[in-house]
This record gives sequence, C-alpha cells and structure tokens, in this order.
Amino acid sequence: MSSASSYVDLSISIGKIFLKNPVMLASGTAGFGFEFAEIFDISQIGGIATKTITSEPREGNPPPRIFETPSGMINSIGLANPGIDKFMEEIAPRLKNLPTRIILSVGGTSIDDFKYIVETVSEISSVDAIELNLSCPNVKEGGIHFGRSAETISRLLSELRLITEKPLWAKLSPQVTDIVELGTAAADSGADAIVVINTLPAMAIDIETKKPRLGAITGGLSGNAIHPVAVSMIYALHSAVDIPIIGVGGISSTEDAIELMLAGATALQIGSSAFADTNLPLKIIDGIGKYCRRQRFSSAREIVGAVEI
Amino acid sequence: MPFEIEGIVLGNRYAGNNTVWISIFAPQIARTSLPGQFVMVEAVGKFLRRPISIASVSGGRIFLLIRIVGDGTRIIASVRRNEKLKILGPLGNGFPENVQNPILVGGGIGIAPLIFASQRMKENGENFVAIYGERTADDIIWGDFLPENVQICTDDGSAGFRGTTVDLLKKQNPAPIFACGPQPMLKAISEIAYKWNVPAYILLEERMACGFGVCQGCVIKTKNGYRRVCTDGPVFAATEIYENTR
Repeated sequence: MSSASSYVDLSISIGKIFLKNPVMLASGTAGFGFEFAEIFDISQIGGIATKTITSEPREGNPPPRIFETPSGMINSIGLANPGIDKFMEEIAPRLKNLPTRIILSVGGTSIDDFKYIVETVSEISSVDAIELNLSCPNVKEGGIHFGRSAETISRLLSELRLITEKPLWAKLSPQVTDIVELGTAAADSGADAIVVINTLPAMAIDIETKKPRLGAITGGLSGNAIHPVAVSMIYALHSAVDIPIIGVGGISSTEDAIELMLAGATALQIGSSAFADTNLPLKIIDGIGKYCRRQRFSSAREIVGAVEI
Repeated sequence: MPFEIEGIVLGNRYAGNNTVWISIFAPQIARTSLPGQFVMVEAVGKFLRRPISIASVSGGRIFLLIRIVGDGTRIIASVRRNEKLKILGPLGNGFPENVQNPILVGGGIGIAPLIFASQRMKENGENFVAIYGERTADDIIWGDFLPENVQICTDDGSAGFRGTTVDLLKKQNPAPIFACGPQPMLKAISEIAYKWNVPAYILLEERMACGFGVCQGCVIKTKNGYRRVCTDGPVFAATEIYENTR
C-alpha cells in the first residue's frame, strides 16, 4: 500500500542494462560527462549519452553555431568531435571514472563506417550501451539519410547486431514521413531501444543583414518548442514497437518528463534545457518520485504508457 | 569548479547609459572568482542564460555590470532586490596572475571585467594603468563604479581624452595589456602589443548556450582551430587570435 512517504522504485531496465532512475543527459549536450561531474554528483542520474563520435575528427561547423528562439534554440555544431582514434586514446580510458551509465553515441557516413566504429568502441568495458546517431540533421553526408530510410535502418542494425554484444540504441530523426515505420524497422532488426526525438530542422534569418543567423545556414531546433512533437511520436511508437523507448525532446520540467513517460517512454534524456539549470536532471528525478507518490504508483515503471485514451 | 546556485539579488543601481550594477549574494562564487571569469545568469523567460563578466566581488557578493543591449540583458537588468536568479559560475579562465604592472583597456561595457582586475591588483598592492573609452560623455558609466584613476577617452572628446582607447593606449609606456571590448579595438590593441613586444590578453565575448564547455556552441576561429570561448577562454593570448601579433 502506498502512502505519501512510501518508497518509490525509480529504477528501470532498458533491455539488459539497469538504470537507477529514468533520467539521463542527452547526446551533444553533456560532452563526455566530465563537465557535469564537476557540477553535481552524476551518480544520482540514470546515465549520460555522450557527444557523438565519428571515425574521422570533425572540426564542426563555422560559427555562429547557436541561436536562441522564443522557446528553444537552434544549433549547428556539426558533430564536432576528436574522432575515434583520439577518443580511444584520450577519452575512453577516463570514462570508467564516471559513476553513471555511459551511453556512447556514434555516427557514421556508411554502414561500413558504422561497423568500424561500433566494433572499436565495443572493446570499452565502461560503455554500457551504444547509441546510433541516425539523425543528426547537420551533416549533409551522414546521419539524416540513414534515419530516413527504413530499409537502410534495417540493414544497418542487422549488420551491427552481428558484431557487438553491447546494447544498441537507435536514435531516430523526427524529420520523417512515418516515425512508426522507422521505429519498427529498428526494433525488428535487433535494436535494444529507440531514442526519439532528435532536433527538428530549423533556420533563422537576421532581417536587417538578411543573413542566416547560423554559419551553417540551417540547424536543429531543440527545447520546449519540440516537446509536443516528442510526445506525439513516442505515443505513436509505443503501441507499435515492443522495445523500450527513450524519450528526448524539450524536457524542461518534471511535467514534461512525466508526459513523455505517459506517452510511452521508459527512460528520458534531458538536453539543452539543462543549460539554463544544471540541476534540472536532479529536480526531475525528485519530481518523478513525488508524482509516483501522488498517483500512488509504487514504481516509475507504472508511468510508462499509462496515458488514458 | 563551477557552482549552480540560486543567487539572491541584494541590489540593483543605475550606473549610467542603460547600464546597471547588480549585486548578488553568491558566497561560493565570490570566494572562488578570478578577474576575467564570468557567470551564466538566468534571464527569466528566456531559454538560455547569458554570460556576464564578474565586475567585482566583496564578502559573499558578486557584482555584475550589465548594459542593456537586447531582450536578455533587459530582463536581467530589471531584477529587483530579493529576487532569485539561477547562476552558474565562476566559469572560464581569468586573466593571468603573474603579469606585472599591466595596462587595463576597456572599450564600452568591456570595462566590466577590468574593474574586477583593478580591484584585485589594488588589493594586492600592484601597479596598473586603466583606460576606459566610450563614444561620448553621455555613454560613460558613472565614476563610482570605475577603477580609481581611470583614464577616460571619448571619440568626440566630450569627456576626457579625445580619441579611442587605442589612441590613448599609444601614449602609455609599453607594458603588458589586458583588454576587453569590441573586436576591432582588440585587434588594434594586439598590434600595439606586437610593436611594443609585450603580451596582450584579450577577453572575448560570444553567444553561449551552456557556458561550461559541453555544447561547443561558442567557438571562435583561432590559429589552433576552433576554440570554445567559454572554457578555452574567455581570456586568450592575442597571439592565438590575430595574425601579426606576438
């Protein structure tokens, strides 16, 4: 029986990995976790999805790379990262010092490129899961094309499934005709989880100079503005796939987080909203516990997909 | 190590020319801040915080000199006593501490971090020269807030020396330079430092999302590729940014 002070089990499982609570930091907004670890005790959160690693070093897009919008921001970082070799040498050995689950995000420009990276990072024992960035909208030659074709997703996942024991999470782009088709393709081809949504394509123009606000002209929209899009896509996927869904998209309050869980997300990733308050992940973990008590749920798992239609 | 705090606003005074002097109770930040470092400050209702240089510290308080240049700074400048602001800091690298008798050059609101630098040097009994420039006398921040013995210049000569900070700098005896202000000013100052054969340290400004190194949104092009203004700077050696500088 539940009471206001009773224990709530916040833990969740994504396939074979266990998270102490559903709240993670999203890829691209948390670096490799070291900076956040200086600000708060990251053992309190469920995990961290790292910056995306690619086979070659990437300098990233020309600045300006960010622009604030009325309820979010547009970014065009361009997958800036040190590349797999330098990552393996300098960063990977330090990941074991981070007392939380490490979800390593990787990106590729071809199936072979993805295979090479996934095979390489599978050696890192402190990596708990591999998140496939199928959807970064900033890179013309990469991400977006993978994420747009169900057939490509199937082929990619099927091939990667054969070369790694690590859980594979497929991060999907919302810039598609039918998210369910793509989610189903990932689930049927061996993905352990689906991560939705990445940023939405966006652009802003300075009307006086008539120039784009971003050096790369267009970018990806994140923040509060995209949250309802995430709710609807997670809701659509929840009844269609039987693997866990990780909800991302404009989570800036406990209410936002719970909404994604009610729509069907088993776990959550907080992105750019944590820039305005780095304690936001901890506040949301606390808030989920309080919500469970108020709703007389004994476990956070009971929230998942509990929307009443 | 930055601190995430909810700082209580203790005061907000007008400082002239659309500029306010805000004091915030933030003991951990005040204790650990160095001149040149900044804080990310909540602009209530805006998605992102704004990077603001620390203009002074005293006891458990930090002071911010904020000029209204857009919606974000307008919101921050309108905070009232006893309101709380989410603040992250101190952030970034300050000015180097082992520089003898520098010349501090502030252009416009770029004077803010140099007020803190002058305060620290005064406390440590170090000598320095301070230069502060604006377009006209009307633009100048009130004297209470400025470094003691600051040399003022205006483009039209309506107050102090007639000319730019660069013109006034040329009249000084050569010494290492700490500077903050518009990019053309920083570039010209870097060229003077080259001629003088002294180091110049320049504090750059950029729009930021996180302020602590994770998003890579605030990069600038340097001789060593893209660097983050937030964690690789905001203070850079001029030689890293501009050609023909040393």
